[in-house]
Order: sequence, then C-alpha cells, then structure tokens
Amino acid sequence: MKKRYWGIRRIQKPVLLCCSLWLLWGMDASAEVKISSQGELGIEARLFTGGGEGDQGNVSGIGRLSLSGKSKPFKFKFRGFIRHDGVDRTRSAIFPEEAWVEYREKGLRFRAGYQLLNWTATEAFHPADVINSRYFDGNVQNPEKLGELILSLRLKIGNGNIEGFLMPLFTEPILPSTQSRFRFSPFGSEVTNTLILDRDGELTETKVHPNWGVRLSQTLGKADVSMHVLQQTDKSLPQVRFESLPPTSPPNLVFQQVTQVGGTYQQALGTFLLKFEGAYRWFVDSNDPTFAGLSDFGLVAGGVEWGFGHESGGESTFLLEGQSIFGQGDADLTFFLFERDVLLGYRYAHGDESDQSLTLSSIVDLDDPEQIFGNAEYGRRLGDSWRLSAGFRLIRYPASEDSAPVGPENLNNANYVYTTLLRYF
Amino acid sequence: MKKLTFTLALVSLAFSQLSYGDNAAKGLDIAKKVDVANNGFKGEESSMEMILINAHGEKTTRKMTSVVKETKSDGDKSKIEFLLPADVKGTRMLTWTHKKDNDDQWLFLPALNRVKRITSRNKSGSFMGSEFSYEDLGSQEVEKFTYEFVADEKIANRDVWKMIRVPTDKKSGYSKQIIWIDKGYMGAVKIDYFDRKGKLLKKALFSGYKKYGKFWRAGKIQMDNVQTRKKSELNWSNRKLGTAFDDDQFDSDELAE
Repeated sequence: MKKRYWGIRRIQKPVLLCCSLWLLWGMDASAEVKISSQGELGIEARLFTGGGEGDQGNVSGIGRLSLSGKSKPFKFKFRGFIRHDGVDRTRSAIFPEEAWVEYREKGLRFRAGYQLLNWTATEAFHPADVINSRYFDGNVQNPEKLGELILSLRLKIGNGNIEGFLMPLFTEPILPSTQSRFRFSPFGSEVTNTLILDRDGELTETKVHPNWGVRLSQTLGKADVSMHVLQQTDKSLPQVRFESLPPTSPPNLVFQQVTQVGGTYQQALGTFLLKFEGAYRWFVDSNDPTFAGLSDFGLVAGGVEWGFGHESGGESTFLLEGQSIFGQGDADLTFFLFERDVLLGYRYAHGDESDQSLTLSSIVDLDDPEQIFGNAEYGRRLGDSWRLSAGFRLIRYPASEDSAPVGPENLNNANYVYTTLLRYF
Repeated sequence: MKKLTFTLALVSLAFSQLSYGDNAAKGLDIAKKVDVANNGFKGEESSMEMILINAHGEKTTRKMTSVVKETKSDGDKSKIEFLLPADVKGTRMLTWTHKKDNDDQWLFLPALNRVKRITSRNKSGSFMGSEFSYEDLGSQEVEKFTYEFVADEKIANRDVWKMIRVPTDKKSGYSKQIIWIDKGYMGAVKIDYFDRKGKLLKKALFSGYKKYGKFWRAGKIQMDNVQTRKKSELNWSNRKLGTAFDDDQFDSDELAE
C-alpha cells in the first residue's frame, strides 16, 4: 500500500508545481487577490461489535484543509485530507482532494489539476458517479474521494453547460489494510501488485492512460438532466488475479479499462423529489489467459424523497431508493455489493441552533434479504465550532454455508459503533 | 318584523361583501404599487449577520453573504453563502423565485462537492435555527398573497398602510399576516405572523431604513416569537444596489464555483 501511494505522490509534486507556476505567470500583479481558507480537525473512533478476525477498533486523528483564492480571470483551490490511525498505521493516509488552477472567460472555463467531481443524483447508489477513486477504509457508507488529475474545458450552453475531461493518470483507490474488518480479501492476505487491463486487452503496470469524458448538463424547467460518455479505468470493481493456479504467490489487483454511457435526472414535483441515475459499462476484453475480467453490465438507480416541516420548525424527510443491475448475462457478481437493493431512510432535522439531526437508514438486498446494511446516526453542533456525531452500523452479508467468504462476504458482521468529534475553523 | 330583520341582514351582508371587495382591491393595489416602486434595482449584494437570542437571553451569531438578481419576466434569483457557524461555511443556497409556481432551489454541500436540488417544501422550517423561516426571507412576490386593506395609520409619526395578507400557498406556515407598510419607504415596518391555528406567532420590526439611489432598504429586522419567547435579529451591512450580475452566476452548476 505504502509503495503504491508514494508512486502517486511522485507525480503529484510536479503537477502542483506546474499549476502554481501557471497561476503566478498569469496573474496580474496589480490585481486584487482574494484568499480564503477553512478546515476541520478532529478525532474519530470506531469499535467493532460483531467479532471476527482483524482489528476490533480504531482511533484516528483526521484533518482537512482548504485554501482557495482568485484574481480574475484566475482561480485556484487546494483541499487536502489526512488521517492518522493510532491502531493500524497502514490505515493512515494523506491525499489531495482538490488542487487545481482555473482560467475563466465569459461562458468558458479551463481547469487543470486534481479535481473532485460529484455526478450523483441519488443518496445511496451512485452508478453515474465513477470518476474519482475512493478511500475504502473510512466512512463505509460514503467513502472519501481522492482527487483525480483532470484537464477540463467547460462551455456554457443554455441553462447548463457541456464539459470535456482529459484524465491522463490513473489514481489508485486506497484499499482497506489486510488487518481491517473492511478488507475484501481473506484475513492477512496481501495484494502484491496493481495492474491495469489496457485498451488492447493487455495487462500493464503503467498508470498513464489517456482517458477522457464528455458531460452535458441542463436545467429544464423543474428538472436537472445530465448525460455523459466516459472512457476510463474503472475504479469501483477491482478484480483479483492469481499468476498461477493453485496460487503460489499473493494475488494482483486488476483495474479494467471501461467505456461508460450514463446520466442523471432530478425533478421536483411539489413536495416530492424524484431522482434517477444510470450507466452502462462496456469493459475491455482480456487477451491474457490468466485474467478473465468483468463482463459488460448496466446499473440503474432511482428514488423519491419526500419531506415536510413540523410546526416546531423541524423537518422530516423520508427516502426510498433502489438499484438494479441489468445486461450482465452470466457474469460473476461475487464482488458486487448492490445488485438489486432497496434503501429506506428517514432523517429528522430539529431546526434548532445546535442543528440536531437523527438519521436512520437500511439497505436490503431483494434477492437475499439476509444481506442488510443498517445505519443510525445522531449529530449536533457544540457551540459555534464543534460538531459531534455518533452512530451504529450493522452489516449482514453472510457467506454460503459450503464456501469460504469471498468479496463483500468478508464484511459480514463488521458491525460497529462510532463517534466523530470535529472542530471547524 | 321577521321579514324586515331578514332584509336588513341581507343588505348588511351585501354591504360588508362590497366593503370587503373594495378593501381587497385596495390592498392588491397597494401591494402592486409597492412592487412597482421596488422594481428596477437590477442586482443587490450584502453581508448579513443574524443574532439568535434564546429565552434566557443567550446569543449566538450566524453570518452569510447574499446576492440577488432581478429578473423581468419572473421572480428574483438569489444566492446565499453561509460563513458562520464554521461547520456550514461554504454552503450555498440558490433560489429561483417564481411568481405563481413553487420556487426552484439548490444547495451546494462543500464537504461532498455536490450541488443538490431541493424541494422548496419546508417554507415554515427554521432558517439556520433562527426565528426566521424560509418563507420570511424569500422573495415576497405580489402573486403569493391575497390582500385586504385595513386602515391608514401612523407609526413613529410616519404614514403607513395597515393590511392583512393571506398566503396563497397551502404549505405556508401562516394562516395570515398583518403588515404595516411605510408610504415613504415603500417597505414593511412591522409584520405580525399568525400560525396555522390562527394564533399570533411572531412579530417582526423593520428598522434602520437607508436610501440606495431611489430605493429604501431596512438595515435590521427583529423577529420576536411570542410563543417561545425566542428572538432573532437580522442586520445588513456592505449593501450595494444596482450591480448587473451575469445570468450565469445564478446557474445551478455555478453554485459549486
């Protein structure tokens, strides 16, 4: 893990330096530069209650710093995240979420650097939102995103825009350590090497691939619509590959090149908010006899949000969402987390000065109702600068009786209580 | 005798209906006059500070900035950015007000870098934990109320119109509002808000009126909740009118910028 991580950092430095030089070169020395900053520092702790092999708890210090500035027509932003775990040092990480420079003319925007995109419409399932890699040993319901090196050009069209993306470098997801209760592989097993199945169907170690995307988004009356075409290295479903069978060495992790067409739709209908999100993925076929790879498939997610206010000033919101896979044929779905699932959620926001809220949610697999992800969380502000949240997560993903746990089955009973205390500045 | 009483009752009812009709027409006329007088400001930007005072007198401060763009054919477009408390710093809310239809609203959540459409359903919901609700601070389009003129009065030696206005939206948190409009400022100086059960809920006092070109704007609103005894104050500073904002600035995609 550490070795791969330093590989990315070697490239990050020159990219950040180039962005800074470009910014300094382009800025008018007499122009007013407006700089703002914000951040958060805190402690998070989690304690697993379901037993099983691996660390039974973690205590981490976490921090996020954001710095942005503008001097027309330029703008820059840096936002970085750090986690230092006192129990499992391999869980510690530091990465940029955003580190970009932007040039803007009327109706046109060019941005270069590490960017964090959010293309999602739904709350629980995100088939369209696939650009950024994630840190998979953090918040299991909403893993932190890692910045992706992107050059993008945006053009205003109608009530929206069209944007083109060039993504030259693959940013690897940060996977849970071998000791983590969230590991996707059997306890203690290590992945030695990361490979990419390139456009020619060959396995390669290089992380430089000329990927691209185009996205059109528009506001049409009460609806927000977006469509995208994307060619990139898939980060959501890494596959395990053994160099020989039976295995004599630890496995490799393989990420496949994929072409994706997808879109999102959100519409306000009175007190209801309708949301749809979908994508179809065509994976590159493998020419390597030791690696079969993923077959093509599509994902569609939809949902409805309904909220109403209370006379006390509070607000209740109910959420119903679902996701289904389609067109996958006989593909192996072992590593797939949500094939045909439904989310039921409720959130109560008290609307007081401490912003108290209670969130309850449950994701159930419709084909195997024993697969359940449950969550209960309470949060509140303490004074003007602190925020406390505490909750419980329940994870049921039982393995078949006659086989060892594979993929997400390793998460079974990784139930945990957690608390986070953050100071914002 | 019975016949006479019945006839008198009918005549009295007819006159009261006629009088109501006159007062409704006059109320609407005043509302339109106020609207016309406030048209043409193009754009407005300001800093806002909100002080929340609980029943024990303890104070908490919220800060935000606001930009508003006037549109000719429909309601105004506005963008609010929250600065304090620190955990919501950078959160932005975009509202496209409509004269008749529900408003369009989006929220930018900086932690997720996400722009989310939201329904403008919870009009009565508390704005940042204060005694102001979303509908108190939203654009007060003429079409969103029915009106009834009550009387010409004086407040602090200034001439005002006293009117009753009833929200046309059934989702409103109020059954009615009594509003006093200053004839010189062409703006409210006092509003009493009545809850859905018809009981007095809040009292708003507008003060610190200042002239910007030909437009008057209140510098402070004090909102007293008579049911909970909590108070909130909203103070404006650095206000500028007449700014011609680009329409692009009020696109939902631009909220993340």
